[in-house]
Amino acid sequence: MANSAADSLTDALAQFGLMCRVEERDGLAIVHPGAASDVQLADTGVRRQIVALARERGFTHVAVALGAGEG
Amino acid sequence: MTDIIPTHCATPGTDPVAKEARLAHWLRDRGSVLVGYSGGVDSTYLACVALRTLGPDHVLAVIGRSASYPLEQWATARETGMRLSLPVLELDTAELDDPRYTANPTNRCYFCKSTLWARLVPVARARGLAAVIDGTNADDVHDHRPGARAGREHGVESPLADLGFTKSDIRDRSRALDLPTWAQPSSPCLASRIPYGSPVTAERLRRVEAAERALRDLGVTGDLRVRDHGDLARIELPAATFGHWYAPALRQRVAAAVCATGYAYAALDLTGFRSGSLNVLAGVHGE
Repeated sequence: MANSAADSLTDALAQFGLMCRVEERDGLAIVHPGAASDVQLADTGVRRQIVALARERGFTHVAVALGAGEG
Repeated sequence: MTDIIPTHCATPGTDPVAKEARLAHWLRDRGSVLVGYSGGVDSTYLACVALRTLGPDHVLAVIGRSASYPLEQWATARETGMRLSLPVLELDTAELDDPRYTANPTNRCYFCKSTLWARLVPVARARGLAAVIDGTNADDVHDHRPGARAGREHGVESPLADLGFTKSDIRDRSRALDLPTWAQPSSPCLASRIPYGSPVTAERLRRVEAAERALRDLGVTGDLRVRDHGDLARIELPAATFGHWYAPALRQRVAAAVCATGYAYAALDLTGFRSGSLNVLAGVHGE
């Protein structure tokens, strides 16, 4: 999967109102949310929409990066 | 590779109590059995019914220990065995010595189960036990289960699947029999946390186990998997608990706990726990 899938998802999420960076790792989309997006992720509907947008771009799994321990 | 467990004897839709009566009849027909026993929901129930039906002189529950078998489950298996007065034998298996297993192909379970049954079947023969049985259930038929072929090749029988026991039936009857496992989450081997094609090593298995234990220590209950993507741990929790664990104060603790076990990064899956999650990544389906 090319980096463009991650870029495409980043753009789609921005249009959805979620400011974040997406990293692609072995078919996984790792979402690094901006500070303002944290609250949105707590909403089940928002998470479903993120997953749907990611699957449209070929990702099988989507996870949100956690704060502490990140390199 | 897909292996479908035979269901020619399945009797879905019948009362679990009636199924249990048929299971007892099935066991009496065999006379004596060796049970592949992990301490999980299915094999504990099967061993319990075998013990009640045949008595301790005609049942042997065997635990196959290896790096892919969680220590916590081992402890549970021993404790439950003692509580039931179940005759238990523990053997070491060595699937990590088999490069076909450690290469982690989509039929990895076939090589693991081949190693296991190659150890257990001779034990049954040496002790004069008539049949070797496992806890495969009727729901497993729909999963990707390459290990089932290894069982068939070694003559292992799966009465719970053949008699149509679903997981729900087994939990129902386990509760009725006061087994401590009745509500226990499913706990497949630790290698199931490593994506197919990515090597299985003792170090990765230990890291997965340590990370899951750390999350349990934090208070995670129910289904939990730490999927090992190299230096990234992808955490799957019950979907309904996402909001709780993603709250700012807790998410920091989750990440710190997991990264303390050797991961550089931790991420929380947005979909939450999915059995066989990594099958999706590899494009593997049960049917």
